[in-house]
Amino acid sequence: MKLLFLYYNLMNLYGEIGNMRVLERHLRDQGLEITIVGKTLGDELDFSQYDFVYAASGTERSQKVALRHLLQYRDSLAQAIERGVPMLFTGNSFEMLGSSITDANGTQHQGLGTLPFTTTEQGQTRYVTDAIATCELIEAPVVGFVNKCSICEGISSPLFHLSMGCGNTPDTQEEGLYYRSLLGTHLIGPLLVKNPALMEWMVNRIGERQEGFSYRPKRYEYEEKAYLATYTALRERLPENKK
Amino acid sequence: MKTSFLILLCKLLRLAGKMVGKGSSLPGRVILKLDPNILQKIKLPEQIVAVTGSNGKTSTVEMIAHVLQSNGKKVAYNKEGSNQIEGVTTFLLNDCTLSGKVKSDLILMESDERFARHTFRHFTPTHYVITNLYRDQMTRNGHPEWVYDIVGESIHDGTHLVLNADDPLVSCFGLGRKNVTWFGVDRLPFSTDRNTSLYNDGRYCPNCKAPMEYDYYHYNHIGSYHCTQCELHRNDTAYTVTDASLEDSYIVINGKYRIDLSFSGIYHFYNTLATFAICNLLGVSGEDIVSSLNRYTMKSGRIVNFTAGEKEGTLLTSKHENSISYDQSIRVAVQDKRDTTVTVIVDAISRKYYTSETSWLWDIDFELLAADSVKEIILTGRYCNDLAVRFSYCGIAPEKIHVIEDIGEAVTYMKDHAPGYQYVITCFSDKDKFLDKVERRTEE
Repeated sequence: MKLLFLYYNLMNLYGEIGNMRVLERHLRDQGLEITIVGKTLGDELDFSQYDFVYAASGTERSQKVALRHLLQYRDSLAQAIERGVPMLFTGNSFEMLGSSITDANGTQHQGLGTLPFTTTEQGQTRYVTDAIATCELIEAPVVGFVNKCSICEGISSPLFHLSMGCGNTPDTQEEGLYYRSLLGTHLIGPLLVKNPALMEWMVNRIGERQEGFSYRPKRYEYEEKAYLATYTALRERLPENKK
Repeated sequence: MKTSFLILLCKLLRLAGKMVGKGSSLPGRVILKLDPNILQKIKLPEQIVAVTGSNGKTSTVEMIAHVLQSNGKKVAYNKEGSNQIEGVTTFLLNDCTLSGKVKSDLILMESDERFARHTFRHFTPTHYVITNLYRDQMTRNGHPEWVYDIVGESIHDGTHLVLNADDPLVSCFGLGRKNVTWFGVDRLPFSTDRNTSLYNDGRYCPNCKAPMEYDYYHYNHIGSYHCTQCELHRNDTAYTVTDASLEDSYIVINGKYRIDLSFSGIYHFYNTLATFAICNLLGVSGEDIVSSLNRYTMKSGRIVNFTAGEKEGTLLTSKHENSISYDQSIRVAVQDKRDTTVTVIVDAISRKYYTSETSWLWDIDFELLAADSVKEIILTGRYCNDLAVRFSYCGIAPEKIHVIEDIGEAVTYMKDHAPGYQYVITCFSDKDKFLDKVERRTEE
């Protein structure tokens, strides 16, 4: 199976290479043959070749150059999304999927237009916060971290419901987007490493693309303990649990 | 309110604060409430030097102060590291006569990257040293380009910039500007043709985002580079490390000024070089700087030698959420060719604010610890399991790695079982949790 790490050397701001390193091992643990392909600015893209696509966070300026490059391949990407290829876009990379991104100077950059939402950045403060979220994909709450300067408006199918953290807009608890097998979220951390249950969900979605795949349960002791340590520490900080 | 009264009040508050062991930001905070423009009403010395950057500020400021003071200048500086506006207000008013004149010949400030724009609304530095901009505490700082924009707002046209030519992002401050002095390190035996770090923030030009090309790297994105599209390139340097040895701990500046260092490391070379550059610009001769800096031992105590039972060791203070500071400590540990045990502690990620954010662990080059000399690894603290996940990707045999959440139990294990010389790598926020359980010997 071929996994694409998009803009691996440009959009890699928050240790998100961890997502790919851990995902690769977990898929191999399932007996799958895995090749990770890194593509970046200047490379040609053909999304029909991949069983999974990952893109991570970048600086606001890096995101704009990535977007300019990716616009050339928007149809190929849109087709892969519609076909249900599993994808994960973390941090500000998922903002590229909307119809536009307006930067802090007020310049509007055309987005990929895959989904009808808009993003607005500002240059003064960042929304920086730990996060706890739930989603319909898995039972376990998800933990993560938000570090962004943007708001996203018009997302009709959010991925997460937050009990801690900053949503797509500061006044909502709805976070990220979920469309077919595409997950977009500002939760970093790196998301799949920090959340074993979500990792397992993703491993299943990718594995299912291979005929005859059935999930072999496997324990990842340190990942599970790391998750619990973080979840426990964060939960204590929820207002209802504070004395 | 009268300025002289506020100065007196500030001095009294500082004195009272010292008696009860309180920090130095409170008096400034009170005074700024009473008069937000107080800093514009006092008479400042002619020379105001500010130092900022992600790493090395405190060390650089300490060395600059030491050189200037040992060469007869009276320096006012925020030695307690209170580098936000409140702390700066405290230390400046504390140094004032009641008529509102700062007594020192020169003000030297360590300036927090994010707060410089607020501080420099009130007064403008004559010299501004910028050491580097890295991925550093991104939970507070966003990311390096975000900090770049904020620092940029604090730079005034008349200020003379003293910039690290080897850092492409820092070099952008000099684009189209004349009053800049550059410093840098020539290609030396430890330089590499390839970027050996886990990420390369010099891959794309920070000015135009076209690919960059490097002649060589010193570490991470620090080296000699040029953009393939725009004018950004490593500038010729007025102050240059032309020779240096990591093993013998010395640097030679401009081919003739040799400085022997009491602590080795490329990062320390840069701090020393920046110190040389600014002190020379301020009129201290090269010879005098050399005699002040030769074998100078830092007071800021980043390196603590300790004894744990019968084991000897060194604690290397790093910064959580700052992969380059960890890389720096890891390099010190693996430069030691004796048998060693390396302990990494991540318990509280910050002492100033709460976060459970551990993504930075994936940016640290822990892979270097797969070196043969490292016989065992101890991972401890609340986030030891996050460390254990990360370490399972480093090519280190699992039986070498001991994961012990409780720091006290980890120390017991160290005393009883850990082979060789002990290196402990952790942050200011966590170091006392370890040092309280062992015997401190010396600090460097």
